[in-house]
Amino acid sequence: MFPLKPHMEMRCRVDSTLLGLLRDFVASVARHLAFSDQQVAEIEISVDEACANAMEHAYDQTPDENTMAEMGHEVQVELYLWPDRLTIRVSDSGTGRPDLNHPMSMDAYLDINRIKFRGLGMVLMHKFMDEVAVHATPGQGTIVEMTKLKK
Amino acid sequence: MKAFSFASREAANDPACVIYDLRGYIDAHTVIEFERAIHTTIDAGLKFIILDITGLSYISSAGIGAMMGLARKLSQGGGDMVLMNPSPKVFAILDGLGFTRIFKIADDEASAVEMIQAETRP
Repeated sequence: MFPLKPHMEMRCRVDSTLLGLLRDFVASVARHLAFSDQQVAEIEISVDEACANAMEHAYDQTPDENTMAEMGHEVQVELYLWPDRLTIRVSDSGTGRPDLNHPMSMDAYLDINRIKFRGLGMVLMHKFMDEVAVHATPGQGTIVEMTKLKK
Repeated sequence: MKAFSFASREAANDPACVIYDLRGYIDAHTVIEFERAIHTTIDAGLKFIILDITGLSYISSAGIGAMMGLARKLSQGGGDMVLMNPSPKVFAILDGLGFTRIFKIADDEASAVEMIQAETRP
């Protein structure tokens, strides 16, 4: 866990139409920190996947988005800016998802018997970020911490 | 710019191939519209599809998964799908995950049509 306060943080209601704004913001920060275009694209999609996962899976989807907002359901994105790296922490206060610690393999994803191609998000984060850690607490929420090194 | 839009037309050199011109981005939100278009396509009995992704600025795992599902379905029905002209950014994402070895990718319409014809109607 991080003892420091983040340099920046955003709180976003559970509304997938906002994903574009979230990833644009994080991409612009990464660009400002002089990450390469390729690295910015990798950071952008990793953050998008973490936020989309939280919005889709962290909370009971029965209520509509306005009700979820009233219930305090949101996704939080924190940015920690280091001289040699960028750490992004995406958290929710949902059910807690320890399964995210065990992302499927690419082979499993491409299994010929799959009907729906889902579950690529965590594979992608591990592929594109240098460090990924998931802290899930049942009933309290999930935190996905991702770090990209400047190379 | 609209988050996602598409238009379809017949390929100039092969009316059996339908080109979908995708614009905007495909993420966890807009993938629903993309999937709806796909299902309309398959329900209409089209077998040979070229996705022109020149105007696609971003694709997430949801979009890649939808394209995988489309390619698999078309293949099972004796059809085929080719991606056309991805931007460097979209290509980098597909390549980084190994999908450039799974999807057929062409630089332009003529090459895309040739790929489909070579594979399915030699």
